[in-house]
Amino acid sequence: MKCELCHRNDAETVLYRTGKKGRREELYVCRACAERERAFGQERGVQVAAVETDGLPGGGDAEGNGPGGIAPQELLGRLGELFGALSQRLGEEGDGETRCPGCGMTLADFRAQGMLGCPKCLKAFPKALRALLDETQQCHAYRGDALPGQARAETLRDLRRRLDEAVAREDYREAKRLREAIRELTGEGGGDGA
Amino acid sequence: MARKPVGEANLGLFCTKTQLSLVRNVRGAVFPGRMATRPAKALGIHLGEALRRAAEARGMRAEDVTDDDDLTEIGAIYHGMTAREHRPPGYRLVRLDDAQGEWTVWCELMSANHLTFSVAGTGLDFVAEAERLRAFVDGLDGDLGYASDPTLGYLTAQPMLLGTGFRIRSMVHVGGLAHFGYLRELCNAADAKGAMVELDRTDVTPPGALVIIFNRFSLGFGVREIAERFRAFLVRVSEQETEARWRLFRDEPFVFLDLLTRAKAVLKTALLMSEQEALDLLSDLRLGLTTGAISARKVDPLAPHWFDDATDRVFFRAHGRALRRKHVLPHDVDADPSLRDEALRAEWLRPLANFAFSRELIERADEQ
Repeated sequence: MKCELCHRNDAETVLYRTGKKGRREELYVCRACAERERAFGQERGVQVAAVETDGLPGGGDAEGNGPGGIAPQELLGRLGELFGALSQRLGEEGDGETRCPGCGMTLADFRAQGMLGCPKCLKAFPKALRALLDETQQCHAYRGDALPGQARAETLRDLRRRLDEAVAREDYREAKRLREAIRELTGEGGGDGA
Repeated sequence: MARKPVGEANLGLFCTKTQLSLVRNVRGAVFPGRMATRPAKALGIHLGEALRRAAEARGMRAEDVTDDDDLTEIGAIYHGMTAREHRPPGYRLVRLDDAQGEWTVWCELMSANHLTFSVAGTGLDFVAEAERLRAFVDGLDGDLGYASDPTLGYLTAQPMLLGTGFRIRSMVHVGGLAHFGYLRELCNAADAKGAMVELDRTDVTPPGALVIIFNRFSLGFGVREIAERFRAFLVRVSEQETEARWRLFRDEPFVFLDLLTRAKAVLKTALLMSEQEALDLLSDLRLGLTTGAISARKVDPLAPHWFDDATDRVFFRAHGRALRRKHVLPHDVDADPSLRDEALRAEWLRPLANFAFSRELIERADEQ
């Protein structure tokens, strides 16, 4: 069930409030909306009577630790737990048998450490990783700046394509210029450049 | 006359320290956490050499400061660097300075990842600094060879840093929000805006009402966009904090006056002072100064370094020789009996009690 206030997140708790006309309302809302209503609803004339915290996953423990605040040392542990829970839900990769070919790490190891062992781990547990990234980063594909190597490779590919075209139309002056540009990029002393 | 500070213009009033870091790993090696001691040390030495050559080729001066106790402790307290007792095998700390000595990049080798480049300071322009750091770090790629993947970006040991490997950590003073019990709301707002708050408990004000806020996403955005979003969130926090401070001044002048009177009395007369107590007193002082509830002749809250000087005194033990050069010691630390640290801290903070209450605060308190 979706939150009745933001209609985006899943409902996690029940919020009782007295609306503007004095009518008591029961709303199923997400944690963020519940907190927002409690903190700022008063300014809009809304009285929040109670928020049921029992239904909150991780919504504060007996010692009063809140869900939002996080100690750095807990972060890795929580990630590991999350990774484990997700892999169990997926029903694979978390069986303790699958090992990363690069470093021999299993998902159980990751659960304990909270850190990956090598770049190959990312390929060894693709489904679990994707679910983890969707959960923590709300995204599983890189959409950042061009990687330096990537940009260079793309430039090189482009230059080689243009060189082939220049050779095909027998534009040797342009071909020579392109060959020099390729040589500069690759750092090669000679060769055919194509 | 009391003033109401504006959030965006005075972001420096709330962000006391900020660290921007970029994490990179080199191709063809497992991450430090899975590496045996000897290979880790060997790779650390190799990377240190390669980094020094690459940095010097770009006009930067590289200095290995791994064994400098002062810098290590300052780095651990202020810049979130690895504390001495948590250093893994092969760990090195390298400081890179530009030719003018105006820009410093710290590089940790073999911490959680192979390389962690960071800049830290007060009043940083997040976006410009982030771009500058990224350009510098990307420029070293040819010499160091970073591990990357077209679909996942830079590959890191920590899944939270996959992608750009970029992290901003800002230490923010939220005395007003903490006073009114809004820390939990702050955490929720951060969560909604792609940031996180490092906080043990949301119902207990941390020492000095200082919280660390950092960005949560590093995969779906570029470095510049992450920095811009983070800055926008901090501006919003600073506006809320401004409102809370103003509300304290306007609606609870008697409570505020009591808070400041106690701070003044303790600062003036305390003989022993713990780090936590000193930070709490500084927090009260910041609240008073930024709202204009108090005035102090030798303290300008808009000058970004006044808080640095004050916190230097709180953490004076960590600064050792550096601080002894900066502030004249009233007497030799080593010659003091037990509790000398607390006694010295109380003595060093005493000049901060030299402030006066504003007439407006007293009048408002009287009316209340």
